Amino acid sequence: MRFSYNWLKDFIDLDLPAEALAKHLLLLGFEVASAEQKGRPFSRVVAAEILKIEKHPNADRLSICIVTDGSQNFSVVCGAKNIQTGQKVPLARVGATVAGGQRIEKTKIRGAVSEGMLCSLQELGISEENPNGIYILPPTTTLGTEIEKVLPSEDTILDIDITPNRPDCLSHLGLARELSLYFHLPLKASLPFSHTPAPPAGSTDTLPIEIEAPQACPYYLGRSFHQVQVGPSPHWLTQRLLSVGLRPINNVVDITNYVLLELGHPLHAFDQKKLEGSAIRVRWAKSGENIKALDGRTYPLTSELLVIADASKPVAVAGIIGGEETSVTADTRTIFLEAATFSPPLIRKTAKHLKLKTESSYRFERGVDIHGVKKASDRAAELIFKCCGTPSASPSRETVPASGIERTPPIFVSLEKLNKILGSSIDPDRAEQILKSFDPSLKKDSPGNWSLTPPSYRQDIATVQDVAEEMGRLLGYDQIGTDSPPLKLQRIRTLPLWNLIHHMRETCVKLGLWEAYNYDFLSAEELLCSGYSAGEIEKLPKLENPLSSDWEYLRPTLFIGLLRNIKHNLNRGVEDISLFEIGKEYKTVKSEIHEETHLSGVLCGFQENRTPVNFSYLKGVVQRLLSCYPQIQWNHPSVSSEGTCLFHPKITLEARHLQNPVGRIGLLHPLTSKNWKFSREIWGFQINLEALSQNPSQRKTLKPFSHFPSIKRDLSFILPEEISWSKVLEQIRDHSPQELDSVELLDIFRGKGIPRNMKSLTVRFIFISPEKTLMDKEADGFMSRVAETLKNNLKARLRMGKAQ
Amino acid sequence: MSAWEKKLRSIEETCAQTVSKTKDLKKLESLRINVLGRKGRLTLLLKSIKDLSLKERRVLGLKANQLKDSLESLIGKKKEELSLSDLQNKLQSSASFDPTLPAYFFRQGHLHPLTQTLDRLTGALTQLGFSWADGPLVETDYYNFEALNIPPDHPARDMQDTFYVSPKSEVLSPKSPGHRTSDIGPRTTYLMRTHTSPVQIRKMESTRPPLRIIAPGKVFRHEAVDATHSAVFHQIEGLAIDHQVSMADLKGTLHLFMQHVFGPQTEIRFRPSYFPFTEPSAEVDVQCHFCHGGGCSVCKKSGWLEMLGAGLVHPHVLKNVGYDPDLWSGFAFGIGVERVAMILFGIQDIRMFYENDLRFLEQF
Repeated sequence: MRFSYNWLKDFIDLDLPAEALAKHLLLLGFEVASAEQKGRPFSRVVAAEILKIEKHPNADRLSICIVTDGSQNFSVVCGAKNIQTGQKVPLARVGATVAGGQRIEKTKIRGAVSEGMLCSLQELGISEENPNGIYILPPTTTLGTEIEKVLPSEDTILDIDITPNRPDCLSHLGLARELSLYFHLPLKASLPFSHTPAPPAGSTDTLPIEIEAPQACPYYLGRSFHQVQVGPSPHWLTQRLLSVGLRPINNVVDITNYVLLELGHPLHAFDQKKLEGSAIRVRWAKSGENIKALDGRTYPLTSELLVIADASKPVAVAGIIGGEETSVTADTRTIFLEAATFSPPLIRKTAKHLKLKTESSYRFERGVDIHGVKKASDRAAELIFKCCGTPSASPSRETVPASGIERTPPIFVSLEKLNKILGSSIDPDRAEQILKSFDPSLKKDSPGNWSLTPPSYRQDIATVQDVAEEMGRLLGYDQIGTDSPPLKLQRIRTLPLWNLIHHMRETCVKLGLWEAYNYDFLSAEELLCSGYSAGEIEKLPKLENPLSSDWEYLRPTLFIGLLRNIKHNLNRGVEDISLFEIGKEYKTVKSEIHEETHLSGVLCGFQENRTPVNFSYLKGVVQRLLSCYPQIQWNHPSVSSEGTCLFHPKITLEARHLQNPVGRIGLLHPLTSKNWKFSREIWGFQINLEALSQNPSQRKTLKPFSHFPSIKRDLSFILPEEISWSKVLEQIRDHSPQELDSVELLDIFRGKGIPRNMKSLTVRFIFISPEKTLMDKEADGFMSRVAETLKNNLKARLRMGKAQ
Repeated sequence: MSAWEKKLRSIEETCAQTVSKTKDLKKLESLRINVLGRKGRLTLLLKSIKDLSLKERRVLGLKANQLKDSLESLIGKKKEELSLSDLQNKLQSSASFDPTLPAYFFRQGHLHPLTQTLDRLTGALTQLGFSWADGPLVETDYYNFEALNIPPDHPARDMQDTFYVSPKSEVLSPKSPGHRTSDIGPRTTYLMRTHTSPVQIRKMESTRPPLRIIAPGKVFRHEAVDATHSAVFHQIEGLAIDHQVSMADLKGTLHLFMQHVFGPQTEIRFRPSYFPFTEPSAEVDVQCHFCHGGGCSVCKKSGWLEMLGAGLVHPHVLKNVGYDPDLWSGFAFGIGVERVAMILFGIQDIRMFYENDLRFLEQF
């Protein structure tokens, strides 16, 4: 809310600068979003000293002044009579602006050069008086000082964030009340509550009030005014409203707004002559009803909305906005002034439903003080008598809840409890003093024990914890010491999933991958480009209120975000990209939303040693990531699962752990690649961390190794293309002695010397025995068995065998 | 003197001399082969010892073997000497070498600055004795709001603009008996969690006090994205429940936490604030990391940076999870990870975290 500092001073004698006040407010729990000085339509005007005054050669009434801003001299033509050398004056130099938006430029006045202007208060926009005199600054003013620092401020407008628990501070009186507690300053009793004159004889009564929804409108007070003169508000009232950003309308409407800003209670004035029937009714709207509101828009109403109505139609949406038809206009003579309270949740729901937030709804949904209703009505009456001609008023009518207006029950406060909550040791007298400032009728039950009845406007104080917070606030949170909780040692529990995430991150980084973070949202277009059908997209969980269509669907895979990142980087000329991300993937299962943590990665361009990324590299990365899970099985995915066109149908593999699919690797599907306009190969992988974390990873245990030297043998052979490496490996493993330690594929060769549809493999065998040094002859024997097996079972043709 | 002995003498005399004169490793080696090799003079001589008489053999054999040993050691020493001086010469005359050539570029991976910051923050809290907890990102209205003392149609809901998610659940919200279900409709409302605080509720529901937990993770706000606002960001939630936990305990814990993150001299400041799920509530400022409280552009001349929201767990929240507020009390706090990362790494624009530009990522 915007507060005028001058207005606050109506209620409390503050004599500190606005910036200092802002600091205190912060420590009291109110953040000041901005503090804007008003009455400063000038800029870059500085303090200068008059060094010399000469007569203008071509004009009798002008003089030429030589002035200095402390660093430079200026020659300025001036028409004022009140200046003398040695005086300090406001100087608007070239480039400065003064009241009316006039920009100062270097000019010639009657042939004499003028490099600026000496200013009066009028030219500074501060005052309307003293038009012909230059404002003389105090002699102590430092030359070159910006004038706003020297001249007393007209007003400062503070934009203060009031937290939702403090509706009582949504008014100038409310904030002043808060400051009076904090600064120990008295609240000025200057608020002149009216003694409404007795209504003139023969005047009509206030309209009767019928409340049909007492739960929603616990208290309603109405008052009729007659012979009201509607017209513009007096200057002081207009200024106040303008200063905090409200547009003046007419005196009656302005008064209701003024009271709202002053006391925090929303009021509404109707033109009583335009109300049909003989009563005002607070009732639920009927479906099909509409209201044309003061903002010029027509709102359709439903039976869940509360309205103020006359005999035939709604005339206001209760607590939110009035109707245009019954509003106060220049012709209005009789007004009906409403002051009421409404159920806060109802107002909030209605405002949300109508998508309409008003000063009134803002306060009602936070809660207004039921005890303040009459005061607000009285205050408005007083101002109406003051500003709207010579009206008369009927006695007010009110409807109160059947049970009466409830008083807040007292809170039992003990010093011990306060100290326990705050961890403090507050002086009992100081504590009592603070409690008394809330509740002058504080009851002391026994030493250190009180019954406190919070003031009616403090609906947020209901428990001893709330009182502790007030105590802390008013003492200052810095008065609370720092302590260390007397906590027993406990075993720190970690989460298996987070441990796995940590492990995977570290491993990815070791493998040269860079970590990415993406939003969890995707656009329909990105999904379509990545091979998701419209039907599949339809089933995805989505935001009901996305910020834009770019972020509409909850991502079914991390992969698409990473594709977006590749695009971003390729567009900027970066070509070697390896990214991974760990995050949630979402899907709908039987209309429930499921989320699972996954790891996904993308690779493109070159890797170490200028080798382009290929399937083998990708598989190596993922095998390393899964190395803690030795039971992983790699298979070609049998059925094309959902996610459909992410991977190339052939150049892909699925990892299974104990029969459960846990990962997928492959080349980006050429169609998807085409849709994304990628001109290079993109390789990717996906790992389901949630599924993996269900299984304990293999603990590393030492395996015995041989102390004897190993023997190496290489073998090259030609095979038909269709025989896979895994088949070759299977044959080798099945027909090798236990001395076979490892088999490594050194090279695959196709081309010169190799028949079509054939390939040549070079394989390295390493043999080792745990018991002895192997002899060459033994290794040769092993190799001839292997060669025989390959020849017989796989139709391999031996090219050469080389022993080392 | 026999011819045999003369030959031995001549070997002895010439060899020792030649060895000492030799300045070339190759010549030395050929000399060694010439004398001591398989067909060397001394070797052959020793072989022919069998032609001598037994007496001569005894005397001359000994002498010849002594000569062999001494020559071997002499040549060995000379060899050592020459190879050393040879190396010295090589080092002095060696061809030019350009050590200013670029270093080999090791490709390395990078952890995202948010991960690094998360690790730093959670590491500090883990060392202070907090265990880990986790919860879903798609939450129900009950856990995100109601259980945290934010009923439907409460103005505090304006503090956290929310993304709502469809489809809505077919089942009734299991956790809102006694709440006005008619107000929120018969189906559970799903939303993207707006803070990590729902994990407090989930953890307390499933665990008996005392407890100390942290819950790091993503949160979502329906806010326009700009340099300082992101619709997706990260928080770390902290919660401690025990007998008689006070504001002073909270202050002490957060002071240690912030010192761990920003350095041992770091000061903190508590300011009153409002969160529906804590009472009393506080905003916690940390002394500006850049000007150390002197005032600079980052802290807008205040000397302080807003860092955490905190407070004592509201008795209503304790009641909602079945804890007796008369027996148990606790504190809770939340910290924004992006904000800490921006301060630690000097990042001005929050959007950079989610662009994944390699020129950004490679710097961390």
